[in-house]
Amino acid sequence: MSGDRTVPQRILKLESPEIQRCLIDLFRFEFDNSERRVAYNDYYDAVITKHSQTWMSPERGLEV
Amino acid sequence: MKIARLAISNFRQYQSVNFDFTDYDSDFIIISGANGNGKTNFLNALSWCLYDNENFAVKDNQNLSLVSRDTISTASDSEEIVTKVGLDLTMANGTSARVTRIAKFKKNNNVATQISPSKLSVTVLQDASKGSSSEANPELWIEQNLPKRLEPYVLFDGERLENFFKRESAKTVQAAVLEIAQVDVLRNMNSHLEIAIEKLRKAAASQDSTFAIQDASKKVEDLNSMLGSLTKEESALSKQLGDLDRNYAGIEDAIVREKTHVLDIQREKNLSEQISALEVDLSEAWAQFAEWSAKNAPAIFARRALEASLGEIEKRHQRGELPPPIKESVLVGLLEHGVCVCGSDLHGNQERHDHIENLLDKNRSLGELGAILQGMESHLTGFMSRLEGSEDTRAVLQRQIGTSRKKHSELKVEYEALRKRISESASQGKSAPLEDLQKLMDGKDRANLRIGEVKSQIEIIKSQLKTAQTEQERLLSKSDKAQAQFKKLEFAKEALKQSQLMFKELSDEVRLEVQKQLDTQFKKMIWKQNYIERVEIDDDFIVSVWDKQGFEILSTLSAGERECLAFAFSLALNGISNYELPMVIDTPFGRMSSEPRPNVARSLAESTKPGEGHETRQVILLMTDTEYDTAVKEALASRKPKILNLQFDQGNSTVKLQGA
Repeated sequence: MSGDRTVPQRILKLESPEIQRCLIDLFRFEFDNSERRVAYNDYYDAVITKHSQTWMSPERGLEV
Repeated sequence: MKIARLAISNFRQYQSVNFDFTDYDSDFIIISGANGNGKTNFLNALSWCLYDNENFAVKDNQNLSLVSRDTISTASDSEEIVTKVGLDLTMANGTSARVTRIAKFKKNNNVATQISPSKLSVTVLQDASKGSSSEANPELWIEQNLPKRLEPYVLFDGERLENFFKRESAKTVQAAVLEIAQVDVLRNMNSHLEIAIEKLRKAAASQDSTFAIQDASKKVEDLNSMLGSLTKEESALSKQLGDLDRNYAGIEDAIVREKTHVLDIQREKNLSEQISALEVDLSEAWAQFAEWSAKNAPAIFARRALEASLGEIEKRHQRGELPPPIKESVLVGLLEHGVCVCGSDLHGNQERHDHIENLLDKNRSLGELGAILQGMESHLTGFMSRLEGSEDTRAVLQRQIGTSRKKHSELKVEYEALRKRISESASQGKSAPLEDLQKLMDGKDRANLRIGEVKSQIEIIKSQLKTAQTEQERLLSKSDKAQAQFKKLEFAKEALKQSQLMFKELSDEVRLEVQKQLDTQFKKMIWKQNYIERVEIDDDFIVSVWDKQGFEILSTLSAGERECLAFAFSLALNGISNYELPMVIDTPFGRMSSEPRPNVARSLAESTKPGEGHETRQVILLMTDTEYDTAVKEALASRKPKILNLQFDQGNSTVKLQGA
C-alpha cells in the first residue's frame, strides 16, 4: 500500500497515554503488515501486556 | 501513476502491437477503432497482465485461447507460442516499473493449449544511478501499488458501467472508500483487537476454577461459537449472493445473445421467403420475356434485315453504283421518240439505244424488287407499329428482371452472412438463459430469505452474549486469581472502544468527503442538473440519488446516467486517495444518447486536469468513430488529446496501430 505511516490525529488526542501508545503500536503494526498475512496474536498480546501494566481503568481508579 | 507503454504480443487479435504514450504531450489519449478492432482486448490485456484475468471478455470468449488466431494458424504443429503483455508504469514518486506477464502455449491440431501457468514479473527502476531491481514477490508489488480491489475504479467497460450501483454494491463501495482512504488499517486493527480480547477473556477465566466463573465462561464460549457459525453462514450467503449477481451479468449477456439468435432465425426465415418469392417472380418474368421474344423475334429479325437492305440500296444510289431512279414510262417514251434527253439520235446510234434499253431492263427488275420490298416494308411497318406497343412490355419485363436480380443478389449476401452467424452461434452450444435466470432469481430469493433469518439470529445471540459477558466480567472482577488477566482484558476493551470510535469518525469523514465530491462531479456531468437534488452515501455506504421532489431515483436512472455516477465515483475516490490512478474506459459513451455525451466528455476532461493537490490524471478512452463525434471532439479539445487508431487487418486477422 502506498501512503504514509502517519498515525491518525485522533489517537494522539486520546486522554490515556497507555491506550494512546498501545493504539500507536498496533496501528503501525497493521500498516506495515497490511498487505501480507502475518501472525498477530503474540504481538497484540505483548503490546496489551506492556501498556496495561501502568494503566488504571476509570472505574478501578475510583475503586482504588 | 501513468501507463507509459503497453506492449501486447500474441494476445487475442493483437499479434504484436506497442502502445507508447510517453511520446505525447497529452495525458489524454483516445484510441479509436470500429467494433472488433481490439478496443476491449486492450482493456483485457491490461487486466490479464496485472491480475491474470479478463474481466471484460464476453462470456463466450472466456474459453477462447488467449493466443491470436493468426499466430495459431501460422505456427507449425507442436510449436511453442508465447503470449506476452508488458506494461510500463510511471509511478507518482518518479520511479518506473515494468510489469510483464507471460503465458506459454503449444499448438496441437490447430488449437493452442496452455502448457504452464502464466508468470508475472515486476522490475522497478528507482533512478538511473541505482539501476533496476526485480521484485521477489511481484504479486505483492501489484497488491501494494495497484490492488485488484481498485481495478473497478481504474479499468472501466462503459457498456457495463450501468450495473455499477445497480445491485448489492454497498460493501464494494465501502471497501473502495475505506481502502482508498486507508481507513481499513483501523478496521483490521479493530478486528484483531476483538480476537485478542476473546483470548484474554479465556485466559482470565482459566485462572479461576470456581463453578460460577467456569459456568459463565462456558455460556460465553457456547454463544461465541454459535455466533461464529452464524457469521460464517452469513458471509457464505453474502458471497453466494455476490456470485449470483456476477452470474446475472453473464445471463444478461446470454439473453441478449439468445434474443439476437432468435431474431436472426426469424430474419433468416423472412429472407428465405423473400428470396423464394423473388425467384418465382424472376422465373415468371423470364418466361414472359421468352414468350414475348418467341412471338416477336422473327418480325424484329425481318424488319432489321429489310432496314439493312433499304439502307444498302440508298447508299449505293448515293455512290452512283445503282442507276438514278428514272420512271419506266420516261425511258419507253425516249425510245419511241428516238431522241435521248441529251439530244442524241437513238435510232441512228445503236450504242445509245442499247444503253437506254439496258437502263429500262434494270429499272424494270429493280422496280419489281422495289415493289416487293415496299410491300414487305409496309407490311412489316404495320407489324412494327403493333410491336412498338409491345416494346413497353419488353422494357417493363427487362426492368423487372434487372431489379429482381439486383434485389436477389443483395438478399443472398445478407442471407449467407446471417446463416454463417446462426451456425456460429449454434456451434457455441445451446443455452437456455431464461431458465438460468429463473433458477438464479430463485437462488437469490432463497439466499435472501436465509440471510434475513441468520441476521436476526445473530442479533439475538449478540444480545445474549453481551449479557453473558457482563456476568462473566462481573465475576472475574471479583476474583483475585484472575486479576492480572482481567486487567489486561479491561485494557484491551477500552483500547477497542476508542479505536472503534476513531474508525467510525474517520470513515464518516471520508464517506462525507466522497459524498460531497460524488455529488459535485455527478451534477457536473448530468444533463438534468435542475432535476437532481443531491447524491448521498449513507452510514451503510448505500448510494442514493434524490430528485427535487424528494424522491429517491437511483433505480430509475438511465444507463447513461448510471455511467456518469460511476465515473463521478471514480473521480471522487481519486480525489480522496493517495493514489493517482489512471482511468481506462472502453466505450465510454456507447450506452448514452448523443445529447449528454458532450457534458460527460467535458466533465471527464476537466475533472482529470491537474488541480489543487493533485497531478493530471491520465485518461485513456477507447471509442468507436460514432462515439467520437464532433460534439465530443469539441468537448475534449481542451485536453489536446492524442489520437490513435486501431485497424483490423482482415487478411491476417490482426490489429495494427496507426497514429491518426
